[in-house]
Amino acid sequence: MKSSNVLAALVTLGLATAVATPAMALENQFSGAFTSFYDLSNYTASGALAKDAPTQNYFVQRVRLGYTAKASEDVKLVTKFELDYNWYGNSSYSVARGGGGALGADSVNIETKNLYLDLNLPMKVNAKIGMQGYNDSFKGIIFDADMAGILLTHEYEKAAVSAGFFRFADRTNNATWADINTIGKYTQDMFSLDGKFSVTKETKIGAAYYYFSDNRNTPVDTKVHTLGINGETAIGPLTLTGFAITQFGDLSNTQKAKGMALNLGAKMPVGPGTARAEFLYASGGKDGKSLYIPASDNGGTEGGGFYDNEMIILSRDKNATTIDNAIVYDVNNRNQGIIFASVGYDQNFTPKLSGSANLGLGFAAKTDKAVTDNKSDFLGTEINCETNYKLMPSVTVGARAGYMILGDYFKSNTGAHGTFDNPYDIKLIAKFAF
Amino acid sequence: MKKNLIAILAVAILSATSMAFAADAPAAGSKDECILASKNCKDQVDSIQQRMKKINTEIKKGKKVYSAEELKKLEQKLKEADDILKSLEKPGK
Repeated sequence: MKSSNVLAALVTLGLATAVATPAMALENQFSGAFTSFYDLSNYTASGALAKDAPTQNYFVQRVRLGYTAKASEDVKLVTKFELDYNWYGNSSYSVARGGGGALGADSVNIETKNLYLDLNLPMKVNAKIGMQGYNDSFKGIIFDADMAGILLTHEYEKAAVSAGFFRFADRTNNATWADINTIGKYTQDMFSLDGKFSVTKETKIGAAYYYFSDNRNTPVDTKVHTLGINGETAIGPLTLTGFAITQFGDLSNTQKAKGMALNLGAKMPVGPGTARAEFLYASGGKDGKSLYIPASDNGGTEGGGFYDNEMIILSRDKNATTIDNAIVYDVNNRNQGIIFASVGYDQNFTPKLSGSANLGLGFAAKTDKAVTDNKSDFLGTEINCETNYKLMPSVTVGARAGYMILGDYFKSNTGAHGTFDNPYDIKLIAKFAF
Repeated sequence: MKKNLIAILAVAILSATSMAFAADAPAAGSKDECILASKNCKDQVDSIQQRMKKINTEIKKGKKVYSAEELKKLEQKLKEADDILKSLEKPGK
């Protein structure tokens, strides 16, 4: 056969194969969520307390889209994207994260959240490689974010162990090309080791170790070890969860890390609904006593938010999107630490209608009186409630409102702080998930 | 001759493929539920809620239908779907 014939045969067979059968049988999984809400507040958008605080009212929209390509039970590519309008009317014809909410739209505003390969390897080891969502085993107060790295997990019959390496940042991020030869040398990294064990069906215990290193700003060399235990058990109708964390190592060349945190959560059926309670202590103070929480290059901590107390203003709101302000943004609380105590109650009125109410208190664990001149460590009391109605299995509409009575933390002995209006926030929300 | 034979084979394969697609179209006289009501579309994929419902239905069949290993796998799939839903609704920036 002449070479031209061989070529013709190969091209024809290739074409025929490509058209007649897919290159690889893939299971395509699409998922997504749409959230839009109207917000009326005197605090949430600005994040600033004030006397005669102006009313802020705005519409927010968020869409998240996920696509997973499953080549087999053991190989899948996971992707997730986000498209936000931080508020309706913000900009159009722009290249802006969260922009495009104004007349005309037409903006480049897609955000890539996750891109990773999920592999089941021999010996029952699962590997996740790439930009993935990962959180600590302490209700997310240390880290809960998207991060690039490798996570290996091995599951036993009653236990699971995972080990990971994640690169949070590299100094070359902001460097010139001349500095690229130091890539990988001045970095912010995390090594994680996490174990969980089911003692009985109701009782699970775990231990986790996270090592954070950061030498991007030499000579400052951060090497913080975070070690903790966590557990969950049921005693009759009562479910208890909790953890304890201690930190050691070097916060910097001259300062040792001495942070710690304790948590206890409880949940129990009471009457027609479920009662909840949460207590959290995160240490604060000078000389490395406050809890170390890794921060991204944009300065915001990637974790540290405590959502289990279901607050709106006192700590971060579970419905907040890019506009995300709270009295206590993360549990480090500007090196003051935090003491949270909260109770809540959830009830399903009908299969479609549900409601919740929450009451929470907050104290700064340790304030520096010489600097802050606060009358007390008491941040205040928040009361909030919400109700949700399922229009369809995948569509929910709801309302959530919160009001906070500011504590004496916001008053000063000298009167220098002035007085602030108590903050409030009301949201009307529509959600669709598929 | 060989070239002609190959060309005929290619056309035959392509025709067979086209016929397979054509067979999926609604029969004459019946309604196209996909266009009319977004139902029974050939390429539709399950929503996450549908997927969770289906997995739950299978888990409920229990050991009469599935082995312990298979049930564990189904529970794992349910957890995966639940994790996806949580990730989609995760708060923050």
